[in-house]
Amino acid sequence: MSSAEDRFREMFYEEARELLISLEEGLMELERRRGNRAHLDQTFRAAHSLKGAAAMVGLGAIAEFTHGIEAVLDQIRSGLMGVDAEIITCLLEARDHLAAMVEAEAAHSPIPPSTELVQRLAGLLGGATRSAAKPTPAPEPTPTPPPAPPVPAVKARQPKRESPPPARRQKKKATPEPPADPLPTRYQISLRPGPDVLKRGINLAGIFDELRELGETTLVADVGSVPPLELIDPEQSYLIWSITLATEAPPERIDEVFLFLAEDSEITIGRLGADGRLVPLGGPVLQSIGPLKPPRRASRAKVAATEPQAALVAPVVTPPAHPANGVNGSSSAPAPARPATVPTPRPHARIRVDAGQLDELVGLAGELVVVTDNLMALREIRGMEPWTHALESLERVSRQIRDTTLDLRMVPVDELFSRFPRVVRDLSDRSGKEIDLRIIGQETRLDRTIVERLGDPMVHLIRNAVDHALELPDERLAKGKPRGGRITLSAGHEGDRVAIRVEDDGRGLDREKIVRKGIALGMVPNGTSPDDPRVVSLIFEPGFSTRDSVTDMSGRGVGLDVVRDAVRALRGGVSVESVPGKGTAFVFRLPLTLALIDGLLVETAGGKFVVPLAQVEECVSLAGVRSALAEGRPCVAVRGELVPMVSLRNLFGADGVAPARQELLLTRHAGQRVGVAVDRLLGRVQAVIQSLGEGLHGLGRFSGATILGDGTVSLILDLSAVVSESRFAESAPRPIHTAGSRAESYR
Amino acid sequence: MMGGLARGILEHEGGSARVGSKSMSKTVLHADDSASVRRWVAEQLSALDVKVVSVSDGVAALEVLRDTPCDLLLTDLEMPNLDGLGLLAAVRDLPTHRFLPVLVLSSRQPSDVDPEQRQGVTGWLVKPVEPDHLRRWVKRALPR
Repeated sequence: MSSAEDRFREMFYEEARELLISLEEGLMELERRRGNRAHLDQTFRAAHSLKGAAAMVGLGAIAEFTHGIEAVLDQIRSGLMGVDAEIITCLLEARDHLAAMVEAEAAHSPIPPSTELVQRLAGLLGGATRSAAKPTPAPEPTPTPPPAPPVPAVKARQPKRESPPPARRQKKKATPEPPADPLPTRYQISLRPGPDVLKRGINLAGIFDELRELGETTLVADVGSVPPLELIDPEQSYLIWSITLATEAPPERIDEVFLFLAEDSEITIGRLGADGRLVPLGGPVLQSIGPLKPPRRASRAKVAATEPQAALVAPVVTPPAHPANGVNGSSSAPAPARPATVPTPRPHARIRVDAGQLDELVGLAGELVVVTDNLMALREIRGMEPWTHALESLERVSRQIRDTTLDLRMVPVDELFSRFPRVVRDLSDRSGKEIDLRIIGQETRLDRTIVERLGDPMVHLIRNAVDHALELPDERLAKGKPRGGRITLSAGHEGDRVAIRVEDDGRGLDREKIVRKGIALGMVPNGTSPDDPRVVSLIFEPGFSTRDSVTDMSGRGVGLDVVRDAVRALRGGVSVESVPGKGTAFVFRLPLTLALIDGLLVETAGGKFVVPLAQVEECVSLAGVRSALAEGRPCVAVRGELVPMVSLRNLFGADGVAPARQELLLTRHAGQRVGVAVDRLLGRVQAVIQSLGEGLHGLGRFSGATILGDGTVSLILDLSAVVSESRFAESAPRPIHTAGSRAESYR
Repeated sequence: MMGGLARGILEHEGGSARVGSKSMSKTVLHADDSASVRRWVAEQLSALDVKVVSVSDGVAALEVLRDTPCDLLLTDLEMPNLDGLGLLAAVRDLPTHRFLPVLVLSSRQPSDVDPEQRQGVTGWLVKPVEPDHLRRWVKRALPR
């Protein structure tokens, strides 16, 4: 049971995330251009669907909280409430809380609705009351009003039987039926179907069949109300039926037969006593239907078959009193809040597939190419000519399969960009700066994982831009700039990479201040004037920016090392373009996919490893390079720069003697150049990355594995992890700038 | 009505799970824009001997109705493209489905809806509904 329930829940969470996104977008849109009908409907529907789905999967608290949002949207939709920034802010905050509730529920630690927001939403409604507005939210039904006992039903039913519990439908399961009488009871039923029962999809013949199944039935039709032939509407019901039924079934069963008829038909059921007298029973179905509107019930007897259908309502069942327990009986005790998880990819109308399976498919497709490549070697064998054609076809097809599969991992960057209007709105709200956000190239496609992980770095940059780079309106006007600042997000292809730019038209980097700060921190030798690339690299240094410097220098540098590391982890790079007074652009350059890697195949102590090319800045031969010790650590001098060195052999504890001519891979770690010594370089490879199995997690120095052309498996070496792992990292000496003095440059 | 071949297959699929006396798989068309509600309903109705066809809006429901035999329509109200009441009106205009039983499954109360518009509704279930209740009503509304 619980697994089925979990499936619904999982599905609900996924759906809720999508609905929450369209709700957010809808609210933003609502603020921008108020009153577009179709769009309002859609926004309302997002809340409405979310409420309905939450209720159905037993998440009553979420359904109820959503109802507050829905109710406000309904007012707006029906024109009873105007839209202003305050209302939108309240709805957006409620949406955020709702998102947090959904995520908390998904993480099995539910959080309660925010009382403050519930009150604020109710306050909004209070401002614009509508007569038709429901007093109670649907998902939290008032305990069903005791099923408005219509006629003196219960009492009349008394003679021998226990009175059936009137609140039967409130129980989880149908109540066990009371023991049947030993002898069939005889009932007399009078049925005058509403004139339009046929048009309501009710089949009278089926109802009679059902009665016959309960027991011996006789039917007599009273044709007294049938009009003359020329006036007959064949789709109307004119007959009045007199039915006798002898059955052992309890009265509720009979009631139930008339479930859908009760609404617009006149039905009386009486029990024929032993003496032949008729004891009236309650009208049909009244015990088993939920709270029908009492007035309707009261006037039931008066509804004549010929009356117009003004009061026609189909039978109704309302939700059980405890929706949270209705479906699954799970309890959702309030638990400590958990922060909602970060970027939720934006949905589009596609088939959903399990991400893990997709990754597996990508891996298999990659292997297929490798296997094919091996088979291609067969072409060289004499006598294989007849197979050449087939082999070439196989090669072509397997490459297509790989490319198509890789393509499946790609999603439009819009999934990421679409979050930012909201981010910018909130920032603008708080900072008092007017901001015009432009988004360009949102259709550019990128690896799903990259899109997911780029959220935080981008938010970081945007926040910096708003907080510090963009000037206040007055300052901008004084500088001859437009009042509102502009932030432009763009994505586009640059060769085989995707470039994502976060650009502002604010103050620009202040070179002087950065250099001063660099000198103060000892990152720049005093009295030197670093070149521009060095100045830019300074702002990415860990610890470069301290809180007090934030405001001084346009806030550039606040944790930018974090941004850079995140992008590097995606095998990308960050660069900065800045013009003082005009603005700054941060550019991420990222690979199209993470599944494929351009790597360098290296050998050390007999093992072959793939090193991501993106991590390697340069390869130099160690032969003849003078090595030295700096602060007790091995270093080599590369073009006058003393570079700390890590030996892969040492790190792996390999036996044997290193070859005379080792190679040095130069990489950058925490802003500093580091060399990693390997035995041999074997060449470039394009590898499909396979993740290491569960048991191999924690092997930090390997980020995955791949299958080489010869079918052997090779581990992918993560140079930055290797460097951190080596002891050098702990006591890293500051890079020693030896410009000129020890210029034993290697070449 | 169902073609002979299709009927045979469906009956076969029904197998021993069926309990009703003259059972023959009936088709329930369910329209709801929420995937989790569709899934939930399909799962709950799987206990009955019915085939459930789920669609996400009124237009899709009409398409199904135009070329598939259906015995019951279970519909949400708020849906994109064509909402539940629009769907109901359209169904009542289809010569083949004028008398199709139509159950509404919505979080709206019938009292929220203009009586004129809900006239053709056979029965009205308000979300959330208990599985037993849903099954009972569906069984009840299906033509016998």
